[in-house]
Parts: sequence; C-alpha cells; structure tokens
Amino acid sequence: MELLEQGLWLSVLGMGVTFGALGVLIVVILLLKRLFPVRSAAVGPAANVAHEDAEAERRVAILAALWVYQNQHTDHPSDPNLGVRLQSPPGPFRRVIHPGIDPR
Amino acid sequence: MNNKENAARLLRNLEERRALIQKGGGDEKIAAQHKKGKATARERIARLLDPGTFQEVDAYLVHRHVDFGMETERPPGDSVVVGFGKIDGRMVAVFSQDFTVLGGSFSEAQGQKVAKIMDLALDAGVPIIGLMDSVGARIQEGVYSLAAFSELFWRNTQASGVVPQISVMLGPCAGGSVYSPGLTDFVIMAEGQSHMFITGPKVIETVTGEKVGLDELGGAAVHNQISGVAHFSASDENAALDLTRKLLSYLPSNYAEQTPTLPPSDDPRRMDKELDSLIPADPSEPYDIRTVIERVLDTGSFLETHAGFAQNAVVGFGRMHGLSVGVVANQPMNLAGVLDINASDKIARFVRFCDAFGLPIITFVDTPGFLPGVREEHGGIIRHGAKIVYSYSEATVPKVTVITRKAYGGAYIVMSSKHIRTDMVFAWPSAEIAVMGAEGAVTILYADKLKGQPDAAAAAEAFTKEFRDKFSNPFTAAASGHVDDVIKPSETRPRLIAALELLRDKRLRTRPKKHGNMPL
Repeated sequence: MELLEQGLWLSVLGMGVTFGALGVLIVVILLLKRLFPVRSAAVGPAANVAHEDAEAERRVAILAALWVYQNQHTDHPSDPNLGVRLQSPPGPFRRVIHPGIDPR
Repeated sequence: MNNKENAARLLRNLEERRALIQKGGGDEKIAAQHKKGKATARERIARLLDPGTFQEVDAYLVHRHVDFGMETERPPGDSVVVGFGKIDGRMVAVFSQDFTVLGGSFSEAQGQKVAKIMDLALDAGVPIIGLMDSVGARIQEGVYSLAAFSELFWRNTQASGVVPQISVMLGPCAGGSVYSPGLTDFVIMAEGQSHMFITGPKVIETVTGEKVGLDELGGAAVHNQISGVAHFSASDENAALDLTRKLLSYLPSNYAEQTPTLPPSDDPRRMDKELDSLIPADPSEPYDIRTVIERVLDTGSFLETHAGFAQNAVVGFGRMHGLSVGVVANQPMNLAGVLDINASDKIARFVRFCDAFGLPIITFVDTPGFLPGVREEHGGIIRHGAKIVYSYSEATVPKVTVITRKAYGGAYIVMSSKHIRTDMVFAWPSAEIAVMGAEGAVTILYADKLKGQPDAAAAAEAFTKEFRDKFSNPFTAAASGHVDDVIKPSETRPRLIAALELLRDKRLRTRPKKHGNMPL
C-alpha cells in the first residue's frame, strides 16, 4: 500500500515538473514574441500582403495549367527522363556473352 | 671516366641520334616538301594527335639492302614514322610516310615498322591511322618491297571489323600501294596534293592511248564524286587531319567497345514543328532529306560521308542525345531518291561498317524504287541492290526506320523494312507504302477498264485517286503491323530517342557459320 502511495506521488510529481516546465516555456515564447515581433507584420498594410500572395498563387496556377495543357495537347513527350538511358553503359543483359549470341 | 661522365656521353650520343632522326631526309628535302605546301611526316603527326602524346616506335630501324647504291642510303627510321598517341584523350596508332626519305617509298623496313604498329594496335584494340605520301614500292628492293606491301594488305584485312582504319591521303599513292587505303574503312583525300591510281597517266597513254592528267585520273574530286574510293575531301592537309579527329569522335576504338557518347548538347524532347510541313503536297516535288536529318539529330552533329558520291543516297554519322549513330537516307533532291548501283554500294558499305562497330542505324526512306534502264541492268543492279538487303539483314545493331514519303516495291523492302528484322519502323502521315507508284499501278491494274472508257484520261485519274486512297498512306501498312506506328514528323526525334533507349541492350542469336557470302 505504501509502495502504491509512493508510486502515485512520484507520478504526480513528475507530471507536475513536466507541465510546469511547459508553462515556463510558453511564458518565454510569449515574451520573445513581444520582444521580436514578426517582420512581415511590420511591412506595409496587411491587405497588400494578402493581395501579393493571391497574385503569386494565380501565377503559379497559370504556369501549372500551361504545363498540363502543353503535355496533353501538343504531344510533347512527357517522359522527363527521355534519353537518360543512352548516356549510361549497357546493362548486364547485353554484356553477358553466350554461345551464338552477338555480344554487341 | 667516372660514372657521371660516362652517362653524359651516352645521353649526348642518344640526343645526337635523336636529332638526326628528327631531320628525316635532311634540311633540303624538308624545305622542298614545305615548298610544295606539304608538311613533313612528323609535323603531320604533331597536328593530328593531342600535343605531347606521340610515342615513337622503331625510330632507329634501317633497311638491309645493298643493290642499286642502297648501301649508302640508310637513314635511321627509313621512310616512315610510326608510333602511338592520343586523339581527344583516346589512344590511336599512327604511321606517317616520310616523303623526304627516298620519296616515302614502301620498303621492307617500312613494311616491318607499319606491321609492328598495326599488330600492337590490333592487340590493344585501338584505331589505326595511316598518313599516306609515297611514290610507291621501293624498286631497288624488288620482291622484298612487294612482300612488305602484302604484309600490310594482310593486316588491313585482319584489322577490318576489329578496329577502325582510316587512310589520310596527303600525297601520291600509286600502283599496288592503293590497295591499303582501298581496304581501310575511310579514305580522306587532301585536294590538289593527293592522287590515287593503279596505273599512271603515262602507262595509260602507252596502253590505251588515252591522255589524262593526274587530277582527272585520280585526284580528290574524282575519287570523291566518281569512283567512290574516297569518303571525304578536305581543302588541304590540315583540314584533312582535323577531319580525321572529328571522324574518330563518332567511332568506338574497337568492335567490342561501347558506342561512343558525348555529353548531350540538345534537348531529347525537342519537337521541330517545321518538319510537319516539310513534305511537299505534290509527291513528285523534291525536298532535301538533309534538312530532315539535321533537324532530327542533335543540332550540328551530322557528319556526312561519301557526300559527293551517289548523291541520290545520303549516309553519315550523327548523335542522338549524345549517342553516336549511323544515318542512311534516300535523297529526293537527286534522281528522286532512286536506288542505283553506286547508291547500293554506298549504303551497303556504310551499314556494314556501322554494324561492325556497334553503331545503331537510323534509316530515312523516300525512294520510288530502283533506277530502271539497260545500263543499270547490265551493270548488275540485281547484284548491287542485293548488297543493301544483305547488309541490313545481317546487321544486329539497333535498327530504326522512318518512312517519310515513298517506299515502293523492292526498294521499300531493302531499305531497312520491318520484314528484314528492323526493330522499329515509323511512318509519317505522308508515307506511301505500295508495290509501285499510283500512276504505274493504274496502267497495269485497270488496263482493260481503261480501254473501254470514252475519256481514258479522266478515268485514269479517278482510278489513280482510288489507288492513292487505298495505298498511298501509311495506315494500310500500319493496320497489318508492317509499320509500328504512324507519327507526326515533329515527333520523330523523341520517338527515335525512346526507341534507341529501348534497344540499348539489344542482342540477337545468330546462326553459326564461318562467314556469309555477300553478293560482291
């Protein structure tokens, strides 16, 4: 019974120390945030930032759509690794020589 | 004399001998050579090879003959400089005939030196380059000189298909000596200073009464355009040596070496839209097949061989995504791309070379057939045309064909068709695969019907249209599997590269035999 009490006490103590440490960390983070505010918030009005983000996203979307369109509608070969195999030496299938098989 | 003094004496002696060897035939002879606008044997080697890589062999070898005053003419090294060195970092064996020493005449000693370097090259699997500038056999040595020639010819034959052999003609080459370049894979002639013939102008005039000059008999133009003996013509000897370096960049060092690749310089996915509208609407209108080749291969990589000979066919080397390939094509700009005797020989020899050295073959087909005529038939077009089908059928390297327009009859079969085991056959939408052209076929197929027609011309036109609709397109052949795919012309480059990727490790089971019996 005594052992059980000790165990429970140790558990509570351990959890208390852990949560206490977390609480201290939260306080430190909040302090740091106050001391060093996020830079983007200090540059220009928030509405402009949102507008620029939307513009960039729109450009990316247009480029992606163009790429998909080119691949689907201009018959441009879609294999990004086309020709890579020609730059590597022959594989073992060609190198293994058997009687009657042209090794070239 | 102490050790140091003795060593100094020995080294001085060696350097004196080396200096003497460098002089070749002496200052006067060298000046005379320069006066003719020609370089010496050593200067040529220096130009050909990477700087500082030449290693000479047999520089001290002298002949043993005493007849006709030869006992007093024993220059060390005799009339040839031999050795090995590097071109673009790859090893080659080279012999350079020295015209300043007894006119570069082919002696027993020259034969020994050339034979030694060829044997070394064959054992090591490196290309052999001969820089030829010689008056011919050394008459003073009699049969010894002829025997030396024979050794050279025998080795040329042994080396054939083992290592590439290139002859660079930089001076005269007459009589039996011409058979050595004749046996090699490629002959490059310098214009204005090189000549090749079995019998010279004087002998010809004596025997047949024909008067002919050196250039008209065996100059660079003659052998590049008429006889087909030479594969390249260079404006001068420096250009010839530069061309030799360029040619070697496409070739492996020996038959077992991997097909050469360079770092890719062009986009493998490039699709040239100009190709889509290149074929004229009128089937009888010509276009330049070189435009197709240059737009499909890596930009600027096409090196045409035999450019002046049998211009109704085009052959040469190129690169696809850096990989060396051989290219064969009919040329609609010349004789409508028909196959004749000379074109057959040109194509067959090139295909065999590519097969011997593992270069994939890409064939562009636009031919209305074999050239009709008594001269062709009597000249043996059957025998010569058979060489094309033999060489393609025998070839085990990757083979890919693109039919751009006409592919008629026997010419369709021999030009790397699916039926003779070409790996991949593509056709452009403009392809016409048939036994013969529409007009000719109508006169045979509808002869009876045409007789009864009041307006025979209009009826023939209608029948021609009917025939065209049925056969003058690639889809009938594609429907039967004789064509693997019908592609847009602009797709050709990526499709060929993809096919070459597929076939990179291709290997075939060949039937055991001593050797085939090609229709020569």
